[in-house]
Amino acid sequence: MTLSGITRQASEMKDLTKVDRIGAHSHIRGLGLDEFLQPKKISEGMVGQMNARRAAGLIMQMIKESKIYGRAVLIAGEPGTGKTAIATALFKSLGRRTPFTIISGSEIFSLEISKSEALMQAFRKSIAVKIKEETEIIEGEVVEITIDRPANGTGNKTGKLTMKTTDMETIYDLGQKMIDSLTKEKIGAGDVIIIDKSSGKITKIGRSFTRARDYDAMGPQTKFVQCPSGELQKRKEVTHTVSLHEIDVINSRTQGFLALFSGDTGEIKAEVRQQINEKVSEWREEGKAEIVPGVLFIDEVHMLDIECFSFLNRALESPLAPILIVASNRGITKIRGTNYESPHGMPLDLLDRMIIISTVPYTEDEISYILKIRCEEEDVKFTEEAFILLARVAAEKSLRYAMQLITTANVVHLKRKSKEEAIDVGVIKRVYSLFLDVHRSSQHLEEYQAQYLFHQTVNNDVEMKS
Amino acid sequence: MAKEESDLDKAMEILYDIEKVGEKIIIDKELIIDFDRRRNKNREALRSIQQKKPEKVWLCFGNMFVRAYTDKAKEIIEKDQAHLDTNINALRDSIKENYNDLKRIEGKETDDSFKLKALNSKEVEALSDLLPKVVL
Repeated sequence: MTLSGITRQASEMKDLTKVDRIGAHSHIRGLGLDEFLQPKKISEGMVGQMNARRAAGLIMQMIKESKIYGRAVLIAGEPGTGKTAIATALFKSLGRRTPFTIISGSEIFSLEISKSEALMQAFRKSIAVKIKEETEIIEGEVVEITIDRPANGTGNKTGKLTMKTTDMETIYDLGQKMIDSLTKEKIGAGDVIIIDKSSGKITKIGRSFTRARDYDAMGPQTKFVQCPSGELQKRKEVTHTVSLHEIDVINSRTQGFLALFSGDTGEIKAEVRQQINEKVSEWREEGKAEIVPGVLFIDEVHMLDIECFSFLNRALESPLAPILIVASNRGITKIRGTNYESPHGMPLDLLDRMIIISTVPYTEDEISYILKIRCEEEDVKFTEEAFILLARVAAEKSLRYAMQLITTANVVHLKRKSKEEAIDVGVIKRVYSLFLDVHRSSQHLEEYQAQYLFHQTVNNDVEMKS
Repeated sequence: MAKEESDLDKAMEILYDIEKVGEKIIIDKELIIDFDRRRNKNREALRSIQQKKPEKVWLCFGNMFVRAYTDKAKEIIEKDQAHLDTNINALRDSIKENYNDLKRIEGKETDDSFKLKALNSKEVEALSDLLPKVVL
């Protein structure tokens, strides 16, 4: 095996430590706005679609300033115009502090829980509560431990514990229970420990670096840490953010044998939710909790039926409601569950409550730029001509079809084991002929439909393939 | 030319403010360490009085030594402890405030969630399944 052969193989191996799932929208990092909330033409993975992005930027600002809750936004546009992309961009731009739940319209239909329960859970997952815990702890390095067993054998040991930090040192008197905990945790001189003052719990963090040379051989779990600095008695404060849904779940768990009889249906009772709302409001008034309303994004909202829409109407009016963002690519269609037609497949009274952002189809330049970004994301290179061909395919057929061709062309190219790194026109023509897009597939059907199974002719006879 | 100068002046002002607030935080931290040292010494003193039970003890104030009755001495030390506790808590709160100011000057997002009142132990226990165990 020649040297060049070995190096070629090495370059083909991918770095498996950093394998992120590459999804359809994984190239989006944010909305791509400047400091005046104006969208830049190509930025953070977003291309074009300026009006919709500007509108989304305004909404993001309002969410950050907590100025809108219980409001609804509809993103409407033809398929393949970036609706889900804008929602993903909004999610990435808001950051981790804002709870953001993404569901698809058809996810709420399930045999296990009812539609309203599924929607309610989605709503509750999008509102978070911030709380804080506080404890006083003693953190330091153990200098020495002395334990005196009393001579007359009544059994009560006493002892002294000397602890230090880089700034100070002191001696603590130990009672029986503390001595027992120390012996149980096998604390010795040179260990860095934390003692919780309220519970008396001892945690060993590790061994001090300065004592690393004390012994020649040490156990497998020994971890070395720095001697702590500052005061011995510290106050530890931790803030947590939990969603209302998580609080609902732990409060509604049926414990013990009662669960066998009542059955764990997965539905949370309304009384439980009511109590939790009261408790959280109480905490908010006492200053113990902060409510963080987030965003619930429902994609393909036209899949919801009329009952769900009524539920949404009501849910948006409750005091603890997140911001609802929905996306729909339907025009004037029937509302599921009725025979009435309505814009976007949603009833007019719900539409009336919404701010509507519309997305428009991409121009050819924008399409070719998006393809370029996807090629970078999937780590695939094309020659100039091949890329122009791909862009034409995307403009004439469909953007999504062209994106699929990127991955498939890459696979064909790798199989051919050619020396070139860039994929050429021939490969694209090959995958184009192998995989049909919607247009060609429906054309094919129109020509050959009589030969397919269960094809129904005009007089409704069922013909079988002979 | 004038615009360049004002940008430089602005930058200097921001740096000045950052250093000022930073100094305050560092000084407060040092003060807490000093107070905690005194607190621990007082505690050791109270312990030894409790164990040895002498009639009179020597107290040291700065560079002055005073001999006093044990109960009077205990009172004084306990009052000092309470005083130190309130001081340390006040300093910790002011460090939180100054830290938020620092973040504001640097243009970063401030986190007001530490201003919340802490939950008591029963409430923490009720939520214990949700809260991750955090060790420093």
